[in-house]
Amino acid sequence: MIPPQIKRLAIAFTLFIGLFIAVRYFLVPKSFGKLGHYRADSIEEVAALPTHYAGQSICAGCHEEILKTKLKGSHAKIECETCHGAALKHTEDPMAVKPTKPKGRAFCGLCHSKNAARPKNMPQVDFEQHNAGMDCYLCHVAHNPRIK
Amino acid sequence: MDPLIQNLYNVLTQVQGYIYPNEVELHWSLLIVLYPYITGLVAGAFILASLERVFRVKEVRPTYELSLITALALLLTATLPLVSHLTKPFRAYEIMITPHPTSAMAIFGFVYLWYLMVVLLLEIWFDYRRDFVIWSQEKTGIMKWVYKILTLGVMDVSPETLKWDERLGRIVTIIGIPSAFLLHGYVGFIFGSIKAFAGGSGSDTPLLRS
Amino acid sequence: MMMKTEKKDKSRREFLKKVATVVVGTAAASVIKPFNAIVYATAPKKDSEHWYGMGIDLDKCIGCGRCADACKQENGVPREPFFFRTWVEQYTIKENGEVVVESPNGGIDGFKQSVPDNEIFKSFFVPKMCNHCAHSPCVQVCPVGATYESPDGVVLVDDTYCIGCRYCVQACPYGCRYIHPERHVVDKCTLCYHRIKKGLRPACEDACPRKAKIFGDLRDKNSELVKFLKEHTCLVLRPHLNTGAKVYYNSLSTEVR
Repeated sequence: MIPPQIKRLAIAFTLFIGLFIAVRYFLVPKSFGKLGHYRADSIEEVAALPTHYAGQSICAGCHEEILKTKLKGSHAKIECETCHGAALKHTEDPMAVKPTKPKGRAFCGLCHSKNAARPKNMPQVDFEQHNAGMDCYLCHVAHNPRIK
Repeated sequence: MDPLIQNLYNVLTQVQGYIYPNEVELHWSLLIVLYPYITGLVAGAFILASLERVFRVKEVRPTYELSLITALALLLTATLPLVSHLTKPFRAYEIMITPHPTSAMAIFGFVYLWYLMVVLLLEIWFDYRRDFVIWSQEKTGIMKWVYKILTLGVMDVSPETLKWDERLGRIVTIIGIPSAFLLHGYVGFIFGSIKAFAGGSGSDTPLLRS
Repeated sequence: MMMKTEKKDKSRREFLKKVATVVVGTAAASVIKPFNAIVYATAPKKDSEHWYGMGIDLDKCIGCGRCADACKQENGVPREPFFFRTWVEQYTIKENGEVVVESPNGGIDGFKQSVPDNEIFKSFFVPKMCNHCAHSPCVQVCPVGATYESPDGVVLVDDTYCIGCRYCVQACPYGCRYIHPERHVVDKCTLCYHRIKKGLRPACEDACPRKAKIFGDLRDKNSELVKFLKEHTCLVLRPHLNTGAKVYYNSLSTEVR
């Protein structure tokens, strides 16, 4: 003979589990589990995020002269936006949004200050010795830095 | 400035040696530590109750009901620090509806549910069932209905059914003892299954934590 | 009596034989098939069209930090020095064997050599980023399935599903995850998934003035990345953790953690 409380508990637990399954059915996102244990739609959502970097080819559309200068010098392989920052907004509205124009010694020093960790073939200068206090662009044009 | 970020700048001045920049922020802090503390109390209270029930230690008889109710109260609050530690607490239900089988934390939801539903609630129900029936007949107003619901509609208090209550309660307690260890030791497993944390990855970590 | 001893001898011989087989077998297996962390992760798990990875040539890295800066601009990563999807570390191994690691603001503001030349045995930069592991420890621990390895081998986060439990932040052995202070969900490198799916290259690779980063498809045997892997001696970070890391470093020193 099954005692009455066991019968009642069995019903209660069945109800609980049934409710759980029902709630689960409504709460689990639609594409969940399609490709794995995650929401498959999320892949497209991540892929659809906006970009901020335009790329050199778009810059070339307006700034062809500067690009030509750059391609002649030792900075040829460097993308425009490496120094000027993300510029897609500038390509959409060239007058309102201006990309940054880094100037001071510190910015050039990011790559060219003397540091034992930099590869030996990298042109480096001791920023304390090399014309201290003078801005780099007074002698070097950033787009083609070699002094002629 | 955001107080979190202000705090991180203060922490940064105290960092010695090198840590990854993302790890300046201490991610599992007081709220997480509170959880094993509370489950420790739950398991302790439960063991105290089982001392009387299973091992017949008569000295702790007066604490039996108190320790069971304490265990239930603490177990219900144990998840509060965990949930409030989430940055998106309202999404906490996802852990139950889409538990990731390889994640120790997801399975924790079921360990917790097992202990709450199958061990504590059942044992207390078997212990108090007779009282619920009596109270549901004596009390008036809302409480009468509360107790009626708590009886789950089983109004039978014949000596034979009560004997069953006693017997079933004992069985649940016997299941409950290893479950109490499991609940508390599982925290160790959650920490221990982290690959990046070599100190916790020993196979004995769950035991040490429990 | 005679029979019994013979039997005993026989069983002992059998036992020794078995032990020898196991010992020699284990030793041989470990010699014949050494674990190769490079090839381990290159084979896609599923039958997918792409299997993305990244190569980093440490011989070329000049530590300018433009990758970390570009990443922050492209992906809306907070500018504070506690949140990085990619950052640069400077390793300096001193003559006395001491290893100094620095990463002031992730390298975005540049590096200042802190150890004088005469004490340096060797110094180099190491750009760090998510390794897009083929067997990610972070994906393994996510309790709800809010982070996952996409079919093309990129570890992504589902912003709308993350509960912010930070288990993955703890689990990542490379320290590549953080909780976004404004969006309140976990954030990490997506290998610029929104760019690579549009045919662009990741922002950090685009911004690198020395082209030290090489993004590519491991499935495409003619891709720049596969070429890079063939031509250089590459290693991955923490290969002993068996994560199947897909960021390959040329000239990686064992000191790098």
